[in-house]
Amino acid sequence: MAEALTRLRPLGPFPPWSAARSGSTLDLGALMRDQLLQRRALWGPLRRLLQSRLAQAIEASQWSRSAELLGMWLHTWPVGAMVDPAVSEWMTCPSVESLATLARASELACAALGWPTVPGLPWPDPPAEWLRTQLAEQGVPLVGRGEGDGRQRLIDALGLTLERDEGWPDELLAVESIPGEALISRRAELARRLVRGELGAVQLTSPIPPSPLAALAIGELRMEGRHQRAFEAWGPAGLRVEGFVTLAELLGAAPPGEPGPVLIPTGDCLLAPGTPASLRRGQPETVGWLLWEAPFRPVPVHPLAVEVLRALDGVATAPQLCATLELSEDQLQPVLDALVSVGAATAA
Amino acid sequence: MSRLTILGLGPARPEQMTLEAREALAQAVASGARAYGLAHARALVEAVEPRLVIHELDYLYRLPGVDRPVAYRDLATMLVRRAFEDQVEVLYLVAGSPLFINDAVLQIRRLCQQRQLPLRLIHGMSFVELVLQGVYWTGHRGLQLLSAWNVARDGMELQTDRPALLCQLGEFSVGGEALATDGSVGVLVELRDRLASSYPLDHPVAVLASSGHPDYLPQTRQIPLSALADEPVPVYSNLWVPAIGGPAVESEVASG
Repeated sequence: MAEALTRLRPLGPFPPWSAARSGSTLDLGALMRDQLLQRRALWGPLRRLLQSRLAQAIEASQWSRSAELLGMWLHTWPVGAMVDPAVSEWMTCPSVESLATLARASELACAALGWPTVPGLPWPDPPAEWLRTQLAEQGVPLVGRGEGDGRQRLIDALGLTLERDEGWPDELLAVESIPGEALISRRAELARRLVRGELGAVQLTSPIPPSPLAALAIGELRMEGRHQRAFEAWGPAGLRVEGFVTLAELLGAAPPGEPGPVLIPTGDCLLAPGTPASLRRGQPETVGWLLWEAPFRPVPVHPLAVEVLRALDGVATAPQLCATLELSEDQLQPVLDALVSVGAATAA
Repeated sequence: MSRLTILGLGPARPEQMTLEAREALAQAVASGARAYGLAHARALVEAVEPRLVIHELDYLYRLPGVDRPVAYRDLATMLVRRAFEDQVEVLYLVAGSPLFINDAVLQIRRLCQQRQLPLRLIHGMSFVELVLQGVYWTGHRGLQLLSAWNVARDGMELQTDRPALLCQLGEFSVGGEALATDGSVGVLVELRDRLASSYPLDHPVAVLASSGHPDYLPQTRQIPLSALADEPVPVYSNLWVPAIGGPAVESEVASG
């Protein structure tokens, strides 16, 4: 029987790197991380929800949103493959790659569930209903984690009271918050503190003025601050990693398959209502996509390639496939060669 | 102790780096100096001193609304501030020779001179030595060394009775260090038209490029001036423009 709760941790800084439950402490952020940022969710209900939202957006001619949702739906394949190792890495030995993966997984989960994200960041801002569902017990004292930990959401939604604030974890360097218009005048001082390691990052609380001097100033801070770009993209969690990387940079091409007389697919394929670019133009069309449950980029193909790939069963030879698909060998062979070269099929 | 060092890495291959430069790189690792450089400089250092962490200056070429003179001035001010106000040992790594077509270095030197700040300059072999391998330059009529950019867009005039070497022929992409070459054609058109006002269209010119990493072998392509913009040129290309009526040998190209 689980120990009674005596302490509740807030949602932020998200994603936390502790366990969701430790003795009588419940970490709501970690609980949310474990529920949303996981392979099973991304490959299961979240993928289905994204597909459904994509169909709705296309039906409503919301083309920009459709393009975004298609990209997200397709990303459930690689991100689902990467997310569990990324969570493990994030909890033990954080890297910019693991945080970039979790950020994209969070965007996919929020879009699927229809949850907003924390303003300016990719992390979920769950509805009050979700918060209430997680906490059966009443009146558990809340122990804050410092500014930006989302405590007010809990106080408002669950009627909790803040027992104390322990501040940000010691391992996170300090952040200086300044308005954008102060950037130029404080540039030298802030850069010096970043270089000396006295600051982890500079938080701009308002937009920077559109001027060359401001661009040069933020350029210097991003160059000198090891955590600056990560902080801007991912919030306080970015203070645990150095540099910045996008998920697109983490995805590679699938390795080519082995040619052979009989082929099998090495990944998934599907027909989608376009590419993100065609949807953005408001021109849906049937496009095949090759997908892998691995950190590989989705590949758009002619719908015929999907038809061929679906017919590969590890038994049928090229002549048999020609008969089944009603294609000539001249039509089939280039498709088979292309599927092998992009790593979608390999010798059985 | 704060110190600012400008280190010329030579034009391409690690073996073209001076002993002084190599020793300074090793010393920088030992002392924990803060090093700065662009992509090409980083690639060169990686080959000889991979332990040195180099802060990337490439962002200076990607800032919206910031043109190159402003970026170079800012870079100079920033490095001087880092060294002498923040008291950090700074190493500024530049490809080639620091003294050839490098506005940021020039501004750093002037700033240090004006403020009487100590500056160490470590020379590097310039790209000119490599480039001249592609032609037969006699020296009898001197040599004009200009940026192709300045000739094409800033109204710099060539004296047609002397040979000219126009450098930075391929550096017309947004990033300066970018490897994309397709952006060069637009400026090549401007350069061709500019030169055509002083030289006949059949005047022989030579595009002097490099085979790139790892061998950096000289590559020479002689064409009439009229064909200058017919195809893109690689980044780090140069244009050889022989003098009108100059030594005949200067209109030939050399294979090695």
